[in-house]
Amino acid sequence: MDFTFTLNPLLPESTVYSLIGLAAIPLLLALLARARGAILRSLALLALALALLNPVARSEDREPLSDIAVLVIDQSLSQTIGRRSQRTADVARQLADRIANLPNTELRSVTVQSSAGTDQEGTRAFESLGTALADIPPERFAGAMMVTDGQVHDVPKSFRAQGYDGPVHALIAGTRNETDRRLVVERSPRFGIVGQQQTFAFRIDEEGRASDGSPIEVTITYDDGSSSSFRARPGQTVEVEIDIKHGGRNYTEVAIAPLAGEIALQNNRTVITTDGIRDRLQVLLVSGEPHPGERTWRNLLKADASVDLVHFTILRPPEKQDGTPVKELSLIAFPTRELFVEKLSEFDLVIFDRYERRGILPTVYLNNVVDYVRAGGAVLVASGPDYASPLSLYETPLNAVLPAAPTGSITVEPFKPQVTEAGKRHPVTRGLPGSETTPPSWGKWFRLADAAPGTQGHIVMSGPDDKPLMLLSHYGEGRVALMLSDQAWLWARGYDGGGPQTELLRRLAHWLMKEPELEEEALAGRQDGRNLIIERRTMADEAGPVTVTTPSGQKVQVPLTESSPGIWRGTLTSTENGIHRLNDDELSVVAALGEAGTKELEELIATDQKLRPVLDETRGGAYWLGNDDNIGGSIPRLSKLGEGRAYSGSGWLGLKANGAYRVRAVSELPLFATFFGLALLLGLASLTWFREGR
Amino acid sequence: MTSVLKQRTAVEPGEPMGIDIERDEIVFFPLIYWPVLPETPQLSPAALAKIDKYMKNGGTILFDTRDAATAVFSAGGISPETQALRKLLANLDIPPIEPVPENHVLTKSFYLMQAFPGRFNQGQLWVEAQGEHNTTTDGVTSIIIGSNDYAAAWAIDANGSVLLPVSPGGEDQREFSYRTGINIVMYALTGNYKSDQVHVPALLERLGQ
Repeated sequence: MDFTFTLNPLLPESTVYSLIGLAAIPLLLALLARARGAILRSLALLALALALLNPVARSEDREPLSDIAVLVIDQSLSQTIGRRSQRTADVARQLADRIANLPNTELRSVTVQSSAGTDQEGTRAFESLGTALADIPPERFAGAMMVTDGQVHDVPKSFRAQGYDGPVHALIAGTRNETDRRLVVERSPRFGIVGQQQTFAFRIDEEGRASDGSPIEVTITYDDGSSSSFRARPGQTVEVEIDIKHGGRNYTEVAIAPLAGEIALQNNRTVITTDGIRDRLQVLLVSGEPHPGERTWRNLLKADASVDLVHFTILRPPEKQDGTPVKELSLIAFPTRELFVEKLSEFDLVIFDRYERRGILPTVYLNNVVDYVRAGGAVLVASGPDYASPLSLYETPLNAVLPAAPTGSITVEPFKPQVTEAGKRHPVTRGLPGSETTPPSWGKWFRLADAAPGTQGHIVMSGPDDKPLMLLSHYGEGRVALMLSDQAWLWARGYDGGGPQTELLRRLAHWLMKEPELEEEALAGRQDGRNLIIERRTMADEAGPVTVTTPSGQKVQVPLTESSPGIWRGTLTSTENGIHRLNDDELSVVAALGEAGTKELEELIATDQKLRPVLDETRGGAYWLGNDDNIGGSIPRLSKLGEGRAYSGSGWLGLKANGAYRVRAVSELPLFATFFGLALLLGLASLTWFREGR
Repeated sequence: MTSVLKQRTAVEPGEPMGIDIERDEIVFFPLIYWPVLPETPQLSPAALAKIDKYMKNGGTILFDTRDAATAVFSAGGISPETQALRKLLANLDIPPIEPVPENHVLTKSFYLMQAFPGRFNQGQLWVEAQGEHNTTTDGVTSIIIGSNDYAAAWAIDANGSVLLPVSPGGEDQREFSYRTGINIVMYALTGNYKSDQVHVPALLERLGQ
């Protein structure tokens, strides 16, 4: 038990001293005059003064407080390579054990993780340390130990400026002579026109070892699976032209050959995401005769900013002549040769609108159309009663691509077009406005050419008695659609409430032109927070699981469930940023979680250089854990040291002993405010009187 | 008219039908020919709404006052038929109209022509003023107003012989009245197709470059 003495004056101290001063003046005179009893009187005054100042003896019951050390465990993406994560976990556990054995020391642990939001920020180790320090009093801080690869991206200029005085140590979970080759993106294109090329600029950097400068193989892989390769020298900016293969997101992977013995391959590749913008689509519309639905098609295609429409209407078939001089006619020749021989392949879509064989297109031209579809073109036959007639397009070579054969009869009765079960799955007719209700909330049509569907294609809309109304099919590389009624214009005119003809025909035309959004068989991944949402569109009854390959090479199977007809979804929560590869039995795509160029994977070499300023400032040290395979052997000995010394040395790591304590109880003993004080005062006064009375 | 269309063009129309504007559904007709009678009764609001919707959704009505020859004898040059038409149109949302301009699609939708005679040839043909196209339609006029008594010039009996003479006369004028009819039907069916045709050579030129 420790005692301390303090004064606890009964009157304000200045008052006490003034009174004593006043009383001391006559006493001083008496002493000078050598008056009798002056010494005793002085002693009495002194006793009185002590009584007024009231000295107190205080004893404190103290409890020593533990010192708190902070362990920052780096679990960022760059810590996952090689043996780092295992080494880090081992070291963290052993350090915790050793700290538990140190006297009067406790440990707080925090981890640093990469999340979707930290792509451009990297490892925020000091931010995590700051979070841990928030409830640690500065006088108890014993120091911080970071188990990391040293690739920390928020090293402050001064750690002490935060008010904590203790060592910061770095335990580097790597080896000193690591080597790494990496690909550095200098410039990447954001978008480009489909079919053209864009310039991508990059550099190859090598770290940890002087490069011999020999060319390195670079491979470019497109998301359709095609690839090309060439060689480039490290340290130089390389520009390469990449193709924009299709509309929508284009993922192009650029990979460089690995360096023998390098620590990580993740930064040997990158994925460039480029938005492919389609050039204007060329549509050829051939109307077999003027009819009301023709204007519906024209208005739709003309209003579409991405379409160039070439429209021909057969105003007068060759067999009808009235002898009017040509100069009085506003008719131009149908440039069939130019359209169907020379320039057919330039069109993205050919529409036959109520077209009948009337000796205008020779058979050989229609054969060209079949070849055109097989090679990737698209044909829409928007038919009406013409399809059932002997002059039907089906009676031409074009029947090779058509998904239904006319029976020759025509159904004439009011009916509401229905979206079939297959149609509910197909992007062209899925969720068509008005199809939510049964029967659909759109207007009636009155006419339908009867047709028997073949084995190809899907019936996505049907008429009365489930007769096919709209069929979609693939032929070779191309696509074919068949409409068996010409009355979509009734919807446009608002009859019986109208209907979604604009939406339906627009989707139909763009599906034919291979708009990626309308693909019926598609696999896609998109980011939602830390989740990768996998969406599979399919016409099949089942969608199998999708295998996701994460950036670190881990393979995860994700089962899918049907969320709405034709759409199957699954979710994967991934802690890794970067390119995830998605595969199922048929399709293979890539999806980016976070930015593909995440800071974590830029530099991977273990280093103590980034942390060095803070280590030096706080007199902490760097310890390399990976010098040998004997992990435990590299962990420094821990010891506690008083203030004002270096906290690190070869093989040992120091933590600060603060000696902080807490007062549990206080007891006080007044020394003069007792009977002893009273007796002393009275005794001295009596002695004075007795001496003076003599 | 139907037989002329069948004979000369790719259009194979159904038989023309008489309609009762109050009672019949008109949405199926691409073109309505409306001879205006002096004693045209006031239409019910429902019928007016029907006509308005028809015109706004891309339908075309050809009003024929048939008074080109007689108008000059009427007070102020305004015949009873014209008055009846004005009364009718006053209750409809009619866009501004103008005489058929020289470059209008009606002048080239099948035949090239600048005058549009019927039984008479003095009457002017009026269409919706061009320029600010209504975005809900494709700029195709929803109203054509003439006074040349077109149906009378087109009329034939069961034997195919004409019913009425044309004035001032000549089979040339009858031929041109047929051509007017064909152009109007073609226009109603193909819209601005002919005005776009001038761009086709340029589009084709660009292809394959």
